[in-house]
Amino acid sequence: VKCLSATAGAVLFAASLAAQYSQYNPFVVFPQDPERQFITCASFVGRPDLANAAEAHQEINAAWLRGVSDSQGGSLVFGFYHWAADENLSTAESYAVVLRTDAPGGGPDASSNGVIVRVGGLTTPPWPSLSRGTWRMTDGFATPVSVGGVQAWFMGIDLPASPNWPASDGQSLYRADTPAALTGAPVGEDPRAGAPEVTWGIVAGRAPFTTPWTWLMGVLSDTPNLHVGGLDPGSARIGTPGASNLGMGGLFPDIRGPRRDGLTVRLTDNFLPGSGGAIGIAPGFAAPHPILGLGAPFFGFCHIRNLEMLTVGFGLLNGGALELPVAAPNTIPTALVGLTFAFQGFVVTPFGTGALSSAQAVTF
Amino acid sequence: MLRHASLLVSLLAAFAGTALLEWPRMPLPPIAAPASAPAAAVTAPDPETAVPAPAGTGVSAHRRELLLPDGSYVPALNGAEGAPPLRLFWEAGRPWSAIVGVARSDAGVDWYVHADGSRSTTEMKWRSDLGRLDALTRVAHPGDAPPPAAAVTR
Repeated sequence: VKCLSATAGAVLFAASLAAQYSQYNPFVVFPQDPERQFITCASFVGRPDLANAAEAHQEINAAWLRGVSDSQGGSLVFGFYHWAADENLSTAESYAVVLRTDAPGGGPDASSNGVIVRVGGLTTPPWPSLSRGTWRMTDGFATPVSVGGVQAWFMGIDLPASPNWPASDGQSLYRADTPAALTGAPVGEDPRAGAPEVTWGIVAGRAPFTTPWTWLMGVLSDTPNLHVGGLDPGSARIGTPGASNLGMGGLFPDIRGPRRDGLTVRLTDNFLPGSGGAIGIAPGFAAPHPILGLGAPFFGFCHIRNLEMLTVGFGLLNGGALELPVAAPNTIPTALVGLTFAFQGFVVTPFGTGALSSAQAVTF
Repeated sequence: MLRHASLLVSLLAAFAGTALLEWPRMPLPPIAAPASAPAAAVTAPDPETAVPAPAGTGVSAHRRELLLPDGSYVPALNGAEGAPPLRLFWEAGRPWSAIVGVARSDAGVDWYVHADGSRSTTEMKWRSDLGRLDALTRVAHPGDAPPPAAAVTR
């Protein structure tokens, strides 16, 4: 009876927690975690084209990121998350969510053949004020979108023409500029000099072009997210002292000297925010393969060379996030310049079941 | 594998006292039935009509309703059918906030208004990958004043 009672209590506890939490995980490439950190790194709000209709895209390149919203090797996208800045909240703004495949020469395929999905006619809600403001928008799909079999895919927002932006009205997106944008922004991204640009713009009549910033937007995932953070003690571009850069600073840290970044790694999951997580580092990515937990196969696939994996650490996901130190600034040997390492984590229950996170590579 | 197994054992020992949770990842939501055309916006419903979910009721009985995080249902807005539960898209860590009204935007879309200023709605939108209309559940939480607008683009 005691056992049954304990089991029933555990089930009730689980059910109440599941009802209270269990949100999808927004996967963004941005210096800070928009769900759990106060955003201090946003340089501006902007549009991929000032007045014309244009798509803003984040590249998910298999050389950098794998297993985003992993569905046993492919990806299932459950919706889209972005922060919409509106210059006049009293009027609705419209946009579309667009996912694209890559073109043969790299970058997004801007043709109709390149569209994985397009969901148009989305609008911001009404607000009884003429002031400028922000909506943190989440658009959830009843049927997930399948993405797979491509070297790179692109997740983005299509903004309509907005001739009055920013003077009187119009929608834009939060962005974090790299120093290479030369916008004079004191905060933003902080990758090493010469790092590839990871966002793109698509404007009718022009070839797709890269943009020197990241956008605060991304797809909704049902598996944990992993982000590598770059620690540059000589930089104040995050706007929060001591915080790691979870965007391009983690993708492209600088250890070449005189700047020698440290590294952190952050695991986030909204499904089991108080559960345990562990993170490993391996010499690189591997073909996706399943892994057995103690209770059952882990949900999602392993994307790193797990037999050569070293454990970075483990702990509880406090508030849905576990951030672990990997290396302090000035400690990663410059001899590692040019080498690639890959990180992946998992979130586990006391029953030995769990889910693998997305995986991220770091090339020094 | 040994390293992996020992890590798991360590983890299990460390977390055994925290919470006995079943893995709550949800199976995929049911695929919405094709709809011929988007229905007209519904009359603004009274949020007090929200009723607790009856035990044992199938999902199909609620195809035109929206399941809220507190377990109750309200009518789906804008003619949506098969909209996924709101809790999947309500911001993580944000306390649930009750519906206090309905507002229609100048775009003709009805939105539930929550006590904390959040907005939520359901809609049917064309899915180019499916070749049909499909439901969305949408949530908007009010944020802070945005940073300045950039006059620079590429």
